[in-house]
Amino acid sequence: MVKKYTEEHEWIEMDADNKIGTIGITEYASKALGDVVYVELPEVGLETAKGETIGAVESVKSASDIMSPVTGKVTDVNEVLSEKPGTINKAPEGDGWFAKIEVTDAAELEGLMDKEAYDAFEK
Amino acid sequence: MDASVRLHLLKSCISYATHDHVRKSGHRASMPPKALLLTSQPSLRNVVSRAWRAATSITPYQTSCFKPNKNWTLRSIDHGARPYSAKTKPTVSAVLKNIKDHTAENIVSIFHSRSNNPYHNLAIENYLLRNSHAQSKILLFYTNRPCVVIGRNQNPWLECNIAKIQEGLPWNAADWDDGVLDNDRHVIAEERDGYNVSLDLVRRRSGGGTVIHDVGNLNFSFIVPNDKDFTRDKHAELIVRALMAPMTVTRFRDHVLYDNVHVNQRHDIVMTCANVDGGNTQKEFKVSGSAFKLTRGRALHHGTILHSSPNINRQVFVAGDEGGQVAASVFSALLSSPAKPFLEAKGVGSVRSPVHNLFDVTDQVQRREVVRSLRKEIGQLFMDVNGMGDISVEEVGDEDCAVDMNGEIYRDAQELMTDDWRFCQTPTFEYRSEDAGGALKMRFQVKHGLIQNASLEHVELDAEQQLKFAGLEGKKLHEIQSWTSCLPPHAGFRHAKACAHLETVFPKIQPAGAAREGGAESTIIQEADLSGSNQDGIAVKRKAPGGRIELERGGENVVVER
Repeated sequence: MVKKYTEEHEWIEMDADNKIGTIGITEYASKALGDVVYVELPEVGLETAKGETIGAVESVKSASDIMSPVTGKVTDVNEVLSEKPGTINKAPEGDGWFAKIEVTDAAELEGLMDKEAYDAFEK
Repeated sequence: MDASVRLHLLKSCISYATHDHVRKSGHRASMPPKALLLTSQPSLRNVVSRAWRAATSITPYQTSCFKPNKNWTLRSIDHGARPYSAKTKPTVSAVLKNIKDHTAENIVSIFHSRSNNPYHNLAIENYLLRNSHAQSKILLFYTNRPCVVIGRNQNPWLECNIAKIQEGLPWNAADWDDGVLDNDRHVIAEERDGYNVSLDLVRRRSGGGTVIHDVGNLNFSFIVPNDKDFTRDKHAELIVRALMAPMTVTRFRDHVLYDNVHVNQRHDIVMTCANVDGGNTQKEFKVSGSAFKLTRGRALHHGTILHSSPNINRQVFVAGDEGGQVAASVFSALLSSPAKPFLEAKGVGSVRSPVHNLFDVTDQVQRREVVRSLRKEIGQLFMDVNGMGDISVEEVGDEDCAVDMNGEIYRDAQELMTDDWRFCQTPTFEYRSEDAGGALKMRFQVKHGLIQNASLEHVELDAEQQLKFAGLEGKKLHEIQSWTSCLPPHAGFRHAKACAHLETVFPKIQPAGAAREGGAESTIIQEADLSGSNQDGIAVKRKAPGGRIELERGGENVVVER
């Protein structure tokens, strides 16, 4: 399955059908942010464009916007984060996923970085 | 403007000033009376200004005159307090309009907002964050009128005493500095004994906890690339260096209250001082709180510098635990929530810390000196660390927030003032009155401001009907005007007691930026009251009992004293 990364330190992993992408923040971002104390999730059904703010996390007095890596529609959000925002720190690229998005144009993903490129990307 | 109206206004200004001076002789006047001089003719303005000063025996630097420019945006004329940089430009709206180009050409730049309107300052700041060049580094200074500012993900019911904020503080002209006249269209220029001025309750866009702002608090805001050079302590350390600079410490040596300042683990600046309160022990106090906003590769670090708040040692009366009134410090009165025992909330709570002024300065002129010196010192350090030379400062202000100047700033300020932003952005919370004096056992949740899932014990109804019974169906908590008319009487609980409790916990909310004169209701006056006033596009909006008159021209509010 395809997993891509953005310069905003978010990841998106496409499902087997290459239609629904799960998004979240990267290991690097979760370390840089510190302990997450609150997560603002988008509403399911929200239509968003690539680069638009779809949510936010607060950590160590910092409010950080989360930008959608692709254009699409939010189909699911990780409600666990409302109750346990710290899950983002424990498993940012696993249980700490942020939302699922039905991707309008899968070609948008080609503009994003693969793991190798993201690891080499100057942070 | 019609000449007769203009003269009428000017005459009333002068006679008011003279009268006021006589009335105040022998009376402790912490500030001379002021008024707004309204004329488009410089020669006439100077005549009036001189007559004014003669009548009130005040020195030029204490006078603030204001002239509507040809577009009728207000601009201050400050006789004595010159901007600290010769390069300061008088009109800067063009700079903000072309901020991307400006910050591309000036990769390091400093702004100083003359506004004391918290919504305007936050909107200007957000505009700089979102529109400046991606690699630019910006420092912005501002001082807000007295207000309580909560963090992005905080609960106003839980963090502060909303009733006390709305009730406000006893008016004292010196608390508002001269800034109140040029920045705040609700001009209150005279010491008004017996009047309270209510405070703004503001939600900012950055994280963190609740802070109180007033004239003794300088706000700094660093906007830089969110790259590997950026740390949460970087700019706090710069503030520390400015506070410890020989320039600061020696210049104000008779007033400096700290022995040392440093950045603590919470990225706040604390001061240590030996002989505070006459004791010999070394004590630590918070003097600066930080908060951050990170977006699209940019980082904003803003914070407060508590240099000389006049409110820090003031006390006000609050309701005591056992009835009656007890004295409490202003800060703790504003921040102690009557709702706290009854709320369970998600989101971000504040960490309470003892605070202290950095300088022992009570005089307005000295306070301005301290602020100017701090701005200069911090500004120079900011230039130095970024390898730049002399400071050049762009002044911004309320005029930049006008709808026809910068629509984006205007709309942002308007959004910050909505109850949707101030209240509905509160993370979900639950109210539970298990222990409200036996009056009523009630629960409900509030999500996006909307009351949900009410349940009242002793009222035997289905779950979904309880919300309706309680008069809360489809209601937003902050929109409830009266609990008595909401909640119907019922045999299961004591109605009056229940309502009294709910009105204490969730008081009626005033709109943001409402006229801030506690108890002084304005009355509408007829246009005929100022004959000819509707000529030349001027409309009288209202006249307050104290003699305040609001005029409107071209969508701009202009305020005249008596």
